[in-house]
Amino acid sequence: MSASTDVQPRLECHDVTVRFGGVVALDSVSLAVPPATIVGLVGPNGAGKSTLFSVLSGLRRPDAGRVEFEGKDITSYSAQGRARLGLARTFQHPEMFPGLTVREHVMLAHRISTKRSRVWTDLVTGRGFRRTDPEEVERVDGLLAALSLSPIGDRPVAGLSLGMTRLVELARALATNPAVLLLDEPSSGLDALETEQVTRVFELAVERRGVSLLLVEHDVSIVLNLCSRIHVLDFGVKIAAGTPDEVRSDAAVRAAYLGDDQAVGKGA
Amino acid sequence: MLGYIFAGIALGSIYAIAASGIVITYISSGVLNFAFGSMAYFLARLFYFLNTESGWSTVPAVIVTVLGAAPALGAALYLALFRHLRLASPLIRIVSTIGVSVALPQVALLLFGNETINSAPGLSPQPVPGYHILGATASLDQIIAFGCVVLVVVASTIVLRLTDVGLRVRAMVDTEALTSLSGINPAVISIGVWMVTTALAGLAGILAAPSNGLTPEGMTALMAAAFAAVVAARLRNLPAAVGIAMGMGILTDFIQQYLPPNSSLTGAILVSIPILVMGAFLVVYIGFSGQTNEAASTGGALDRAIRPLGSDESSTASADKTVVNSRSSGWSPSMLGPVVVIALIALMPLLLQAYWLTLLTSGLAIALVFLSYTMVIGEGGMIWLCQAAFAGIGAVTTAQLATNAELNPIVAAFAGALIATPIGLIIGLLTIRLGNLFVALVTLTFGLLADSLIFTRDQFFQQGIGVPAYRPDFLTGDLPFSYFVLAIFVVLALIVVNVRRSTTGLALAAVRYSEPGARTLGLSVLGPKLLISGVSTFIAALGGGFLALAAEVAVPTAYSTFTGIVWMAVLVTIGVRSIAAAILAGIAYTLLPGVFHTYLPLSLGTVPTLLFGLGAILLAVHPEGAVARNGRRLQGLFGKIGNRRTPAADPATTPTELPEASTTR
Amino acid sequence: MMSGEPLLSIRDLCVRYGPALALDGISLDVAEGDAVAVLGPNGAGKSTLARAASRLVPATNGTIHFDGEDITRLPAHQVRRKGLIYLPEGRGIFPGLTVTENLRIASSMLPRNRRKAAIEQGLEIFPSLAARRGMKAGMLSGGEQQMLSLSRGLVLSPRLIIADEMSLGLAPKLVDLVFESLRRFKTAGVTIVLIEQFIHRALGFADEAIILSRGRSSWQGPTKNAEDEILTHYLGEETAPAR
Repeated sequence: MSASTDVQPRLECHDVTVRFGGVVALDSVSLAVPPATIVGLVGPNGAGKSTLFSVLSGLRRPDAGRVEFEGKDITSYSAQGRARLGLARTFQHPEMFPGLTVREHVMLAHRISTKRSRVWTDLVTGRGFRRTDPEEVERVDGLLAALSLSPIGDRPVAGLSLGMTRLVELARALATNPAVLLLDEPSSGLDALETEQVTRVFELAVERRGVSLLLVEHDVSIVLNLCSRIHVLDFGVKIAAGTPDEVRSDAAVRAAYLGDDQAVGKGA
Repeated sequence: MLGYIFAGIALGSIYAIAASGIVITYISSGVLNFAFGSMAYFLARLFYFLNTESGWSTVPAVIVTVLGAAPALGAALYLALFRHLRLASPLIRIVSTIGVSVALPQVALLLFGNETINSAPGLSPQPVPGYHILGATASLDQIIAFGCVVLVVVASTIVLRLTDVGLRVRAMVDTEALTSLSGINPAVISIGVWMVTTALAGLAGILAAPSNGLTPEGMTALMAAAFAAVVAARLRNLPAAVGIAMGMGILTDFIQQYLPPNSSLTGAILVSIPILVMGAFLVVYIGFSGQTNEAASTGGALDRAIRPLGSDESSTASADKTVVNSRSSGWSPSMLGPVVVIALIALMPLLLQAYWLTLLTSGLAIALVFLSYTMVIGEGGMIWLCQAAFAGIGAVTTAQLATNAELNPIVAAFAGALIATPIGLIIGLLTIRLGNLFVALVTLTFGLLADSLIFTRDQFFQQGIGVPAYRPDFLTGDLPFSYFVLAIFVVLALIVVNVRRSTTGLALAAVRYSEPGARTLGLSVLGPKLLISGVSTFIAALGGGFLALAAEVAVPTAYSTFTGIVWMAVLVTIGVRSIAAAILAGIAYTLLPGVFHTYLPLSLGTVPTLLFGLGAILLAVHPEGAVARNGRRLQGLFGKIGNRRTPAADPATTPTELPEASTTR
Repeated sequence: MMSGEPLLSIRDLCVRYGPALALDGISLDVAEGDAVAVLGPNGAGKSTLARAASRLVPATNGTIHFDGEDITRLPAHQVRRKGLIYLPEGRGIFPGLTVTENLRIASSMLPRNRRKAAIEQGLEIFPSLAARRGMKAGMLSGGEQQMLSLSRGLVLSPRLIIADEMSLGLAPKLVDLVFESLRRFKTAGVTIVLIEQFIHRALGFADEAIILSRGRSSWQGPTKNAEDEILTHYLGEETAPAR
């Protein structure tokens, strides 16, 4: 097991390797997400960031390496199992339920994390015909209000703008009371105002709820501003890690982004 | 021995031509053409009309049919329907091709008259000459069939491998977007492919007519066998499809010589061979890969990138808008619709005369079966084509238990439903990881197997008379019975509504829309899907039992998979996610033919079925279904009157506060 | 470079993918013989701009003119026939066809008697392609696939090439090769619109650049002496991009 440092990280991965056919998409990548912090994951297109996210959230099994959640090996856990432990994620292309309303997205996520058995018991109890639990209403309303989603609570998600859709996806993820939230390009496709809105929610989630965030993002300025620690991937290899200032001045990082010749040989 | 092989080669040749037509349309357009059998029937019937009924000689009749009418039909169907299906949801694709398969034979009946033709001449002169080859006799029809498949294989290989046209077709199969970026108009290629494959359908139909007869059902069954080869070839491998089709034909006739002639079991086994082949291949594929998803293999990355976001869901999403409000608990205006509809229907038994009351009663019983589609397709998003088989199992069991075991008929109906439920659960378990198209194919296979293996058993079939299923004493009259069925409908409808409005329904909807989304929330896919499988099977079988009690007899052929597919087309046309649609569809299904029968000339008797088919075709343009569409307008009206909600405004403020988590970790 | 009408002229272009507004009022002129780099982070709308210009996706607003002609409503295959070629991101090849067949498709608009020579010419540009002419394009390495994509473009002597992330996922040596071939096009007088994530390379190649940010143009101008400014916009070393 990993050497116990002063703070137990919420989510860690060790030497994760993924191959697609002959191509190595991830080559022995390790990183850790400590409690109540925002960790950034950046790298050029095709560097393996989304693949690492699939591995962390359980949608893909690594060919080698392991994933730990609060010190517990969860490599063999399904996506559902990890979600139940407190791992939530958003997607680059939001995976929404278009016919359900905004409120229903949040309500479902809330119920799954608090009263999972209702997926079955509702059938027998005829719950569909009764009033909703007031405590649940309060919590769902609170979350909707916090993300300024209350006015559109009863609208189906199909037809919302991408910015709104991303906020709903965030609300849905937060409603599961996650300990760790993985965010896959949360600002792509958003305008400046919408970007500001979602980043504000990230900060609130960390401040008010102590959630740990792992952020994949192409907008470097967001990452540099928000994250306390940044990991850089290139061609499936971790080429740098450190504070924003360290990463900003790292020659390998600049090379990977700008395509300078210094990049030759790195990670080969 | 050799004689059987010759017959087998001829049968295999017909399968092979059909299979190659189906594979080519699938790989080039992504549409699995469930209407192939109907196209074959329509064109073969045209050939019969020209050749036999109008006295044309064979050669001009073939040329006009296969090289003239068939391409014209293919082009017309492409322009009117198939080109709209590219971005349609899998359900709409399947249902609208089924619509064609329902409508086209009716058009043929209207045009050419509806006499039953048990055997039609093929391409050889009459009487069919026979040739002695290696001591066995091969008829000229058999030789022509084999000649045709050789011709088709050679010609298509040459065209596809060596010509520019073939290269363009193969390029479009790879990626349509890049084809157009290469300066080639994909629509021209698509239309050409549909013309050619429709010609293949015509050829297969004409070749099959001498041995198979000329009926829509017969042709559909034959083409269902060709589907087996298509599935075994994983929908995309043309040479494999041809090879497996030939093998299946030979296998069928090879087995035939070892079976007693003129036994019903022999017939059943022969018909089931292709279905068993399909089942075996599916089991192997599922076993090896764990899952089979056709979606991953169509088009290239560029095609996916330029597809509008969420286009796959948009049709289902729009169909959902009506029920959006109904999911919040308590009373809502959207519940008014079904209540009013059911209340109006409850008045009908008091007003109708005997003939109409009987029709209404069986319509209500069919509405029960329709609720199972509402459950499995509407709520579960699983395209099951075997609900009729479940209904048949329910009907047959009810009749057996009530008549032979002298059980109370109502108890028997529920017992039948309980017996069918595990079958549904098993099918649900088998298909859980499959893509939509394969789910449809597996369930179709099961339905056809039930048709040929279970429903033809003499114990159930009784030479076509069926087993009587008398109603209990207090329900003998149509009036009390219709109210009893209506009451059952209401109870089942409440169950469906409860599922929809409960957490279960939310979970199901989530799984249906996005599996990754649902799984990363902590929802498992298995449970909700299995639940739906079980409940919908129970409802279908119970409905079947009551359908038998309504008719007071369980005739297994009334529950053929083909009938079930027509049922599905009717329901999806009217609305697959609505309770009101289920009951209206049930009643329309029996009353509409009654109206035509009574008030219109006999020659228009096929029009109702034609209308059902056309309705399903129109889904390609209006995917939400009639009741959903009009219901929403009405509901919008009620909503405005009921509560004036403030118009929703997009929030523009940045969030400032976040409530604390309810449980600390 | 040349006076008079630009070869490609885009005005107020808006494109919507479902709920997302991918492009919001982009205007861009490309003069004949010029090379223009389109830069910006992922999701900024670079590929959408290319797809809209080649008419793969419809424009919700705005106009596109090519060689003085309005092509805003023309189908993709006709735009291609006018000499505007889009080499799409992620290998613009038919993976199921052989190398030669890929070139045959590309040459199928030429008169019959000139096709053979065009195909041979396409194979000659990259010797490693000629050696694999019978191989399925899907089996080639990433670099070879990009070469095939390029030589597919060359077969028809195009007037304008839009090259979308040609260096994506390629090792630096192969990236050099890609740029070398693009330079050959440019020397031959072909106008080039280059979509690139490696901005130093792109700036070394292009005469003009446009930086997209969230579907809008955040900077536009000649590349000479503008490197620092571009870097600022691109790497976001200031907290908020200037509007």
